[in-house]
Amino acid sequence: MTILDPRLAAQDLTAGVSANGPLEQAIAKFAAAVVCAKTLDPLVTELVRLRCAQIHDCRLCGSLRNQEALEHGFDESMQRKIAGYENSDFAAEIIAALRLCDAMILSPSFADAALKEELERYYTAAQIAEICLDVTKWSQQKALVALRLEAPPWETTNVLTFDAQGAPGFGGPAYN
Amino acid sequence: MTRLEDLQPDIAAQLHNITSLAPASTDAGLLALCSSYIDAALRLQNWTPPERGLTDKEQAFIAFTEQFVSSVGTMTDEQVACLRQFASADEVYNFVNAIYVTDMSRRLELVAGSVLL
Repeated sequence: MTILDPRLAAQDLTAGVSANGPLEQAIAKFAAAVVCAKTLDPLVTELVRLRCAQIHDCRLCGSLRNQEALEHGFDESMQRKIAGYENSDFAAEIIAALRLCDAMILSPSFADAALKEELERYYTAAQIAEICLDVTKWSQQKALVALRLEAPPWETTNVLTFDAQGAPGFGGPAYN
Repeated sequence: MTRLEDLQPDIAAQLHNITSLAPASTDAGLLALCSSYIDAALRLQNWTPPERGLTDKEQAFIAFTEQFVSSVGTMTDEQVACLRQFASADEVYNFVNAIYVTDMSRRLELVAGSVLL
């Protein structure tokens, strides 16, 4: 893992003003609402989350694996295919979801009529909306990456969980 | 954003809340300037600075915004240190969160506007 020092010192941040301030609390509520939406296959959600982690270079996100996705068959061979997903053997619906993810995080100009048609082949409007909102939520880490405040406190890959209210939790090593 | 509001009303309400809060959490004028840069960049248009030119502070925050929008993972220590010449750590932290909200909500608006017509 790359060693990058935080660009703002924790002692210089005032709790309740910046860290855990009104905007950050509101962002956390938005994030919780997004993860409580459950119209998508957890595998699709996880692959989109890891694509965001890869493009944004988020070390924390990249070190986590969603519990639900693990229960639905996620494995590390899938993670390794994300970077080259266009030439992978992922199912067509997963490639479509990752293309939508790229349109959100790389260039909205990728969101054209062809992508719309492709998405509608595999997803309902509510599911397409959920992917868009997931990418918005998983890109929350852009702020922490910019300030390099996203170093995970562990060396190994850990389990990511969410409670019924959408609050995140960390469940120990993902693999033995 | 209407279609998104129809499809995911609870989340859309939370999103509306953060986009409303963002300008109040930072220097609203500076955020508006940087938002105009984001709007142009996401539409692949050239951004034109105000005719009066940019102050040193505005130049630093625009440079940060440009990097944030194009490739946040390759942001440098110097780009953030440059902001600290003009703003406290709390101000930088809140600005960065406000830029995240602006950047991603604009992206969402553009993409959802295309694929959820």
